[in-house]
Amino acid sequence: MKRIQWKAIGKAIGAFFISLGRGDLLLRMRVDKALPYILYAFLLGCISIWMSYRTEQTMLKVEKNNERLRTLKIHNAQMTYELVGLDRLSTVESMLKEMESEVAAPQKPADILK
Amino acid sequence: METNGNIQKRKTDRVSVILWVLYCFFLALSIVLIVKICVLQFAWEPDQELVRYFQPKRYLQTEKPERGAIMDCNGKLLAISTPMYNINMDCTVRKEEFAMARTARRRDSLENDWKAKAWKLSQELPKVLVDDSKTAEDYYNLIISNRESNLKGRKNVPIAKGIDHETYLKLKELPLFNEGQFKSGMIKTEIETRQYPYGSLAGRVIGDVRINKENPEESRFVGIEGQYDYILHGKEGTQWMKRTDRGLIVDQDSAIVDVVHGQDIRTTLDIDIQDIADRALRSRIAEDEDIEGGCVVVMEVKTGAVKAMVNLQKNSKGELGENFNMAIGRPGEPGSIFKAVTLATLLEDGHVKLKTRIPTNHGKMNDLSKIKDDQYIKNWEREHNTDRISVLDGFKISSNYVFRRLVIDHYQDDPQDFTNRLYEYHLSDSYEFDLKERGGTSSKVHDSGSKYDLASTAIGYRVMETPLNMVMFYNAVANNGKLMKPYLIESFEVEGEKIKEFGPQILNGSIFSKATADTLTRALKMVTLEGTATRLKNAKCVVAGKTGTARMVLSPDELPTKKDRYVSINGERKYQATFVGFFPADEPKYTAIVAVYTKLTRASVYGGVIPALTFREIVDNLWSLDSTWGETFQARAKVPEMRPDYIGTRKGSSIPVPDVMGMGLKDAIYAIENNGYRCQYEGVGHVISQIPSAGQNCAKGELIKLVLK
Repeated sequence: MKRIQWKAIGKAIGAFFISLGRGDLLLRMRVDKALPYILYAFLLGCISIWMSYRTEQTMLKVEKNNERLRTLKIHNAQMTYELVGLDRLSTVESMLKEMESEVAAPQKPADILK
Repeated sequence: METNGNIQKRKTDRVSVILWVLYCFFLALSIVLIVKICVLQFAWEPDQELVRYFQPKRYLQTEKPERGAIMDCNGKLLAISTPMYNINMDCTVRKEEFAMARTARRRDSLENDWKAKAWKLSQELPKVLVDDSKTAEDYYNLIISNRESNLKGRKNVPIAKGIDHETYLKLKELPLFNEGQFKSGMIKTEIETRQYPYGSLAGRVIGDVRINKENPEESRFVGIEGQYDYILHGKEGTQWMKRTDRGLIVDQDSAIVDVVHGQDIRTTLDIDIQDIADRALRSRIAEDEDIEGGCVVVMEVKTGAVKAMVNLQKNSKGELGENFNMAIGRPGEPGSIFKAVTLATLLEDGHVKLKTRIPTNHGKMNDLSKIKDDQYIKNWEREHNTDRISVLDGFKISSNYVFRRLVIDHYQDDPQDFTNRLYEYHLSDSYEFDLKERGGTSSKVHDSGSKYDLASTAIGYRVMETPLNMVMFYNAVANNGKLMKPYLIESFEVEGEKIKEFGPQILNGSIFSKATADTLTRALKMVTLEGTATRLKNAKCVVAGKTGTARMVLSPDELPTKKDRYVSINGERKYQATFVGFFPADEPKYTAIVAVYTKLTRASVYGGVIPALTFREIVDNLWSLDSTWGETFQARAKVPEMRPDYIGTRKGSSIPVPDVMGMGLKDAIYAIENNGYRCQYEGVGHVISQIPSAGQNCAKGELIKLVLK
């Protein structure tokens, strides 16, 4: 069985704290090589946050437009209801009568010109 | 003396120490932060009460489906859902806020400002709500009295009930209300409301749904609305909404159940025909005190599509309304209109022809002594000085004797032969109609046991038929023996796209031969030309049909005599008077039935009077409206088409003179006068010249001269 190298571990820990104390831990770990990737990850994080924000803004717009659409649909339904009511044959006839119009319901089927 | 190098080194050491201390400080801080993050992430259990306040609020929002519309065959809306609004007001709004102002003067100022706005609001309310019953003072007193009292409902005072969307938008713009809910106290409640643009027209067919939440068994499901509620209703959707700084948005991380809106139903009804039939029946029965109500069914011959179904019944105040679907829910003994069924059977079995003559025997049934003599036959004998009568003449005068005699003579040995025919005609409840009437009963054909039963069945007694069943049979006559199933539902649709389509269904391809159908048509035409329905003689097209007047069996409440269920102890009777037929007789397009029901009366009511006159009005109006029956002319020259851009209806001073060349006079006058000009014409026929010519801008009221040829 291999003996645990306590001395080596102790040395490494010691070196870690010394370099931590000296402030060159990251350089010692050669993090400078990965700096572009770190910056890239940071950028991605920023973009992600920005996109979440934009998504929220868009969703707000969607909700507002949905509400507008709903209002228009209600308005449309209301107007349709009122107009359809006027379309009734007997209503049209009574309105024409009220207006003393000469236009009346036909007395015979329309002639067809071919 | 210290050298410059030493001084420089000491300075560098001091800077290094400061930087190192700062570095250590931030290092320690970062370690603390990392540890804290780890603790928060893995070890810390937050107080759930506090979590509520730190997380964005989420609400489960239920989206109600839009109820589908009901349309007629041309897509005209018969039922549509729109929201209506109830407006209430929290009259105590901001009262506490104003009370907390620092000085009494400020408090009074804020309160008085609010009251001034409330007064302005009160002045506008009667105008916007078009409400004469309340004045501005009434509204103001209502608001202020509730603001200053401690009444229980002061935070929810009703201002307007059941207002439409337009009115709601106007209300929102009024002083005070335009400041929003939290400053004005305006409370809006939306109520999904079913609207019927044509009012009560076809009301019982369209129906309604009233849900009783406390007692679901007492919920009301009537007509198409009730029967097809599962199609019209749709399915609710749910979604989680989260509150952000700027408003509510859908939480995309949550599960969303999409709402499924209700499907639209296209019916076979034609609302114009429905209107014509409704008006015709209404005008005939409204003033007659003996009439309890009536129904009309108009059916398309080729398809069996129900084009109109009117059901008018008087309430206790004598007002007519669509309260019960008699056409499908009120079977009764049909009386003489059933003689066509009897005649069809006799003809089809080869027992008689229209010219077959039988002895009149003074209208007496020798072998059925309980049956009274037929007075019509006695009159016939007197008028024609003969003791024989043909089947056609018996049919024309609707003689009970003739049909009893014929059926007894030919079917007394095997009455089941006769009854089986009735089953073949589907004159029992053997098909499913698209609608059911609550509490309504079905048609029934009794097996004929005795001679008396057989004789009764022959003239339309001992059978119970709904008006719809009878019109279905007559439709088969018009359709050369092809028995079409009456139907009311054309299709289920979503945004104009047909999801499920229903169509004509044949119940029996040939219930009798074409020869029998032709013979029956001839007989039915004679009824309107020379028989009991001569009121239809001069209708705008030839009608083939049959009248029927049946006494109705009285209920125990109506105190029938012990001997006769049809007569009350006061000698009064109830009648069902009917006319059923089709038109134009030679090329039938529509079959229709008009059935009228009386109250207990001593007066006599006949199918040849009110029902026939109603039928005639329907025929005349339908004839005029349908251009397929118009005369066809071969144009000898190019006829200019009517261009809508010239045929305006706007009012104004600079509308161009319309192009009326080639039009008939009525159309030309309509187009000219609607554009604000006067018209003078000479000649008859179609417009061959017009001065000023089309397209010119003339002064309003200028004379346009037309020459017709």
